[in-house]
Amino acid sequence: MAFDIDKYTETSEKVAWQDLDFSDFRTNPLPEGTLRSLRYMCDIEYHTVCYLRDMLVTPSHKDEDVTAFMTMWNREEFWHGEALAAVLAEHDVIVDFDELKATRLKLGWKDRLDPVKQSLLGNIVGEGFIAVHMVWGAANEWSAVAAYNRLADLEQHPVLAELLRRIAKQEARHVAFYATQARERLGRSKRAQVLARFALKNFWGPVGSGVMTDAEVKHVMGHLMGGTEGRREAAKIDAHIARMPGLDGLTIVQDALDARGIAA
Amino acid sequence: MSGEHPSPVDTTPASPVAAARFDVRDFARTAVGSHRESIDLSVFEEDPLPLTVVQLLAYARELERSTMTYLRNVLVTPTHKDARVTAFLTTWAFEKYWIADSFEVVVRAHGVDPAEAETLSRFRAIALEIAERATPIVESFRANAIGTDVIGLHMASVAVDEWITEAAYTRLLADCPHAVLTPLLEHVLEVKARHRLFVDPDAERRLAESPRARSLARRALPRIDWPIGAASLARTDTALFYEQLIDDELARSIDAKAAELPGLEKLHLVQNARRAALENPGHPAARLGRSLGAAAATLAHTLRSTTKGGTNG
Ligand SMILES: [Fe+2]
Ligand SMILES: [Fe+2]
Repeated sequence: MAFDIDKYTETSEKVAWQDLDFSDFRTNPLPEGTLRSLRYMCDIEYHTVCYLRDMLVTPSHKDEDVTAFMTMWNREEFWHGEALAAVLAEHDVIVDFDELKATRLKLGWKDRLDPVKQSLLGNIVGEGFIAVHMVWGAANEWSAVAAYNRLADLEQHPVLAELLRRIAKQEARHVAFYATQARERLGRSKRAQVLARFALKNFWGPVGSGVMTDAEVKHVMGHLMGGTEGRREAAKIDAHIARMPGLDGLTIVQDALDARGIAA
Repeated sequence: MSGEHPSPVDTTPASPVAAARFDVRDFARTAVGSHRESIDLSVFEEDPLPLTVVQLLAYARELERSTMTYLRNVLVTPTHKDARVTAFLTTWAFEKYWIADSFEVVVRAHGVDPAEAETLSRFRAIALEIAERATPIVESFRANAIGTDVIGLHMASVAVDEWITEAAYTRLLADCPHAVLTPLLEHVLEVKARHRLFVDPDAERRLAESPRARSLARRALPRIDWPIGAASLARTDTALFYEQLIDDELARSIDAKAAELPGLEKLHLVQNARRAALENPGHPAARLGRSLGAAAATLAHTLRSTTKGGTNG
C-alpha cells in the first residue's frame, strides 16, 4: 500500500467544527475527568511543533516527501489543538498561547538535551534514523487514533463524539504515512530494525510524557487505556507495532501502562 | 447558536510598536492553500515563459520549500517555547509550501523537474552535509545559553528574507508580464505581505526591547547566506537570482530597510550577499542550466503532453 503524498497534501485541511452545535456543551457539560483528558490532548496537539523540532534534527529533513508531509501534519495537529480548545472554552477552560508558552518554559533541562541527543544518534546511524523517526511517529499516531475513538465511545456525547471521530480520521491518515514509510525503511535495512527496536524499547513513552506531569499522564492513560476495554485497545496498538519488520514481540504501550500501575 | 462559540484568546501583551495587533488565530484560520486551480497551464503551450524565468522560478521554489530545514535550526533554540511564534510559523510554512508548489507546477509545465535538483559538486555536498548536521547541535548549545533573545534574531532573519524575495518577485512581475505568471505572482505577493504584518513588528519589538537581542542579531545576520536556503542551492542559481532580479540599487534599498531595525545599522546584508554571489558564481555547467538546455529542445512537445491530461501538472 503506497502513500500518495500529493493526494495527501491536496486534501489536507483543518478539522471543521463550525457546523457542530457546541452550545450543547452548555446544557450537557462534560464531566471533570473528561475535561482533564481533553485538556491534556489539547496541549499535546499544540505542542506538536516542538516534536517536529526533535524529529527534524536528523537527515530526514532533506527528504521531499517527508518535509511535505511534516508541513501539513504539523498544521493539522495545530488545528486539533484549536478544536479541543474550543470545546474547553465552552466549559470556561481557556487555553491561551501564553499558558502554552509557560508549559514549554517549564520543560527545562531535559528538553534542552533532547534534540542534541537525537541528533547525535541520527548522525551515528545516518539514514537509519529516518526509520526510527517514522516508526516512532506511527506508534504515536496509532495511539492518537485509539485515544480519540475510545474517548468518543466512553463519553457518548453526540457533539463531542462527532468531533473526535473527525480528528481520529485525520490521525488515521497520519498513521498511513508513518506506517508506510516505516515499513519500507525497516524492510530495507537490518540496521534500521535493530536501531528502531532499541530506540522504542528504551526511549519511547506515551505521547505527552516528558511534556505533561506524571499525574496527568497517569490520569489520561487510566481513563483511556485502563480496564478491560482500554487494555484491549493498548494491545491492538502494540500488535500494529509488532507487525513492523524486526519489531515482533515489542509491547511498548502495555509496558508503559504496567510501569504506571494502570490496572486492566 | 451553532458554530459561534468563544474562541480561546491570545493574551500576549500588546507590543508598543505594533499598534494593530496581528491576530495569529485569524491568520491560521484564513491560510491560503493550493494555487493550482487558478493556474491555467494550457496558456504556457501558446506562450511559454523565457527559460531564464523558468530557472528563476525553480530557484524560488527551492527557497519557499526550505521552511522545514529552517525550522529545524530555529526550533532547537528557545524560539520553540513561544507558542504565538510557533503558531505563526506553522501557518507560514503551510502557505510557503503552496507558493513553492505553484512555482513547481509552472516549472514542470516547461518540461523541467525541479525536484531533481541538487547536483552540487561532491565536495560541496559533503561539506554541506557536515555543516547541516553540526548546525542544530551548535545552535542548540549556543542559543539555549543565550535564551529567548534568540527569537529576535530569528524574526529579523525571516523579515529580511521576506523583503528579499518580495523585492525579487516584484521585479519579476514588472519584467515579465504574462497572462498566467502575472496574476500568480500578484497573489503570491499578497500572501507574503501578510507574513510581514506579523514578522516586521515582532522583529522590531524584540530587538527594541533587548540589547542582547540586538547584539546577537548584529553578529549572526551577516553570517547567513541570503536569501535563506541559498546555502544549500547551486551557486550559479543564486548568482542568476541576483543578476536578474536584485540589482545593486534594489539591494541597497533592502539594506536601508534593514538598517531601520533597532541595532542593525550599516550591515549591508543584501549588498554583500549579492556581491559574493556575483563574484563567485560557481561552475557554469550547473544543473538547471543543463537540464533547461535539454528541456528547451523538447519544450513544445512536453508542453503539449503535460497539458493534455488535465490542468494539474
Ligand atoms: Fe492530532
Ligand atoms: Fe496525528
